Formats: sequence, C-alpha cells, structure tokens
Amino acid sequence: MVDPLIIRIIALGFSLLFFFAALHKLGNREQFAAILTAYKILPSSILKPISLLIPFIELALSLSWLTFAILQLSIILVPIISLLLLGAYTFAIGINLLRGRIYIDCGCGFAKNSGNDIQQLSSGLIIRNSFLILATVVAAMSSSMRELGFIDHFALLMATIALTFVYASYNQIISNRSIINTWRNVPEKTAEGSHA
Amino acid sequence: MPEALLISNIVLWLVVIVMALLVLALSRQVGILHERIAPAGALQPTSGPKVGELTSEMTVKSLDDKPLVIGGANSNKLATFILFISPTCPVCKSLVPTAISLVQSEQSRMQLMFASDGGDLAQHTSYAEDLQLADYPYVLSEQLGMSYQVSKLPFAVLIGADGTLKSKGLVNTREHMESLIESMDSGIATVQEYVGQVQSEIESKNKNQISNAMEQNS
Repeated sequence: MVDPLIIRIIALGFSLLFFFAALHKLGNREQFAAILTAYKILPSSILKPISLLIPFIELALSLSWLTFAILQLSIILVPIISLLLLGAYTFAIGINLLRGRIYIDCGCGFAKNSGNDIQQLSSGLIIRNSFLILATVVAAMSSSMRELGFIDHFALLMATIALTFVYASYNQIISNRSIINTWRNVPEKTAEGSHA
Repeated sequence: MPEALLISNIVLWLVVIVMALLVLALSRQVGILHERIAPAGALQPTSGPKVGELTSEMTVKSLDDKPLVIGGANSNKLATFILFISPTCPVCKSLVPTAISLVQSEQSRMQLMFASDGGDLAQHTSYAEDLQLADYPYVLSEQLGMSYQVSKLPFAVLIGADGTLKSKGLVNTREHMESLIESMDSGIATVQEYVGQVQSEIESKNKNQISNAMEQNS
C-alpha cells in the first residue's frame, strides 16, 4: 500500500515530463526522425510512422497522468504503457552504449548548453530512466484510502516543482559530464570507448 | 502546535525549492563555463627544429652515467616525452608529478625523460632524489637544450616513435602538456587550429545527419 500523495506526485511529475517531451518532439519532427535513424534499431520502413506516433503516445500519456493526478483514479494501464515506453528508450540507449555509439543525440531535449544542442548517450541516462521506471512501478501499486487535505495539495505542488528542478539539474549534470569526458585522460574514457 | 507544524512545513518546502533552483543554476553555470573556456595549448616557439621534421640522433648521458639515445627512430617503438626542468625553476617542481601521471596514462606508447642543462652535478642529484625521479632517465646536457632551442623552462618536447618531432612548447599546466600529445595524435600543430576545425566539423556533421535522415524518410 502506497500513500495516495506519493502516487499523485509521481502522476503529476510524469504528466509534465511527457508533456514537454511530446512538445519537444512535435516541434522538431525532422530532427526527431533523424535521431531515431541514428539509434539504428528500427527498420527504415517503419521509422517514419513511429517517429510520428511517439509524440502522440506521449501526449496521451501526459493527459492520462494528469487525470490520474487530479481525479485520483488508479488506471493500471497508464503506468504500464509508460513503463513500456521508458523501457524501450532505456533499451535503445543501452544497446547503443554497448555498440559504443555514444556520440549520437539521445533525443531527450534537455541539453541546452552545448551550442550544437546535443545530449550524448551515457550511463547517467540509464540510471535516470531506471528511477523513472521505478516510479511507474510505485504508481501502479494500490494506494491506501486517505482523504487528502490542504497540506497534501500544497505538498503535491511543492514536490512537483522541486522534482522538476532536480530533474533538470540531473540532465544538466549529465551533459556537463559528457563535455568533460571529451577531455583527455578521463578514467571513464576507455570504459565508454569515447575515443573514436 | 498543528499550526506551527504547518508553518514549518511550508517554510521547509520553500527552502527545498530554492535549493533545487540553486543546484540547477550552479550546474548550468558549470556547463556554460566549459563552453566559454576554450582549451589553451602549449606556447610553441618558432625557433628551433620544426614540427614534423626528423630529429637528429643524439647520444647523451643520464645522471647515473648511462648512455642514452635521443631522437632518430627509437628502438623500442615508443614516443619520447622530454621535459626540460631545472632546480632553479619553481614551476618545474610542481609540474614534474603531473608529467609523470600524464605519461603513465599513456605508458603503452610513450616514455618520459627529464632533461636539464649542465651545472652542479650534486645539485641535480639531490633535486632528482627530491622529486623521486629514480625510475626515469634524467639527462644532463647543454647540447640537447641548445639543439631544441629551449630558452624558457619548463619546456617539453615530444618525439614520435618514428623519430620525427611531433610537438614542442613551453608548458605550465597539465593542459599544456596534454595539448602536445593531442597534437601528436591529431597531426594538428596547435590547439587553436584544432578548436576551429572541430567547430566547423560539428556544424557540417549536424547538417549532414539531418539531411541524410530526411532523404531516407522521403
């Protein structure tokens, strides 16, 4: 049994996450198709429909999570689809990390500091996605019945804002690290095979 | 009492958010710093042998009186990193451990050598002991410094395994020494030239990637 507040924080967080992810992908449709191609996982015949479909799945998930958060409905399908989508992303990143193709853009849409707008693949992304997957699992668990009061709604809002900042900071630190890794003699360099 | 808890809860949340915002701002600043600070390479003098030229073979004696051959095609297929130091140069002392750790990470293809001009032998011996240089050859030769036109210390020379001069320059930091090795690997003489090349490469690569994908999709 999980406290309903925890589940609602997760739901609101995912709603924002998928909303911005979808927005970013819809705004850069051609770039997103290019990124999917660079992952070299899907056959080229289905690349285009998939690249168009993913943003809409994300948008639908965003709306479902929002209703989840507001109406306190526990629709088991929403966490499961999110888990599958995040799992697919993590799988794609993992495969390309193993292939040593770390220089491709992850398509996360959070890298704003490097002038060329690219967030390279790294193990940090796998860790981040693992936490997100864990959150979908928590959200899928049954919640205890508790009336939420003012203080809970206040905490929901504050926690969501704080988590957004933490998420953005984490992404920033990952992209900083990939810049630092381009320097010579970073111990991880050989482990990740970044020296092409 | 419940009122106090409520107030403290609100205050704590506000503090958490401000802290999270600060972390974000700090990490952004670190990212921007990386971009703004372009790498600086070793200062390369124009006098002396040119980069890419074959160096002349030179036999010198190390501090423990062993003959050493510098320049020319090396027998053990290693590049040679020569750091010119002197007991009278304060920066050299701090740079020696850095040079050792740098060359150790490149151990498979590079050997480290220290060089100094003549002078009091006892002074050099105690200097080498001080800096624990027993594992590395320490050459005392005025002729060596003259042939590479070493005018300021600490100065580093990198000779490739094939005997050509790969790079040289006045070095003050690890970054400067790394720039010499980078220059050997890339074949680009200076870091400034390299930065310019990389920037234009990234731009053209991005354009290509997008146009390729568009072609495939259409």
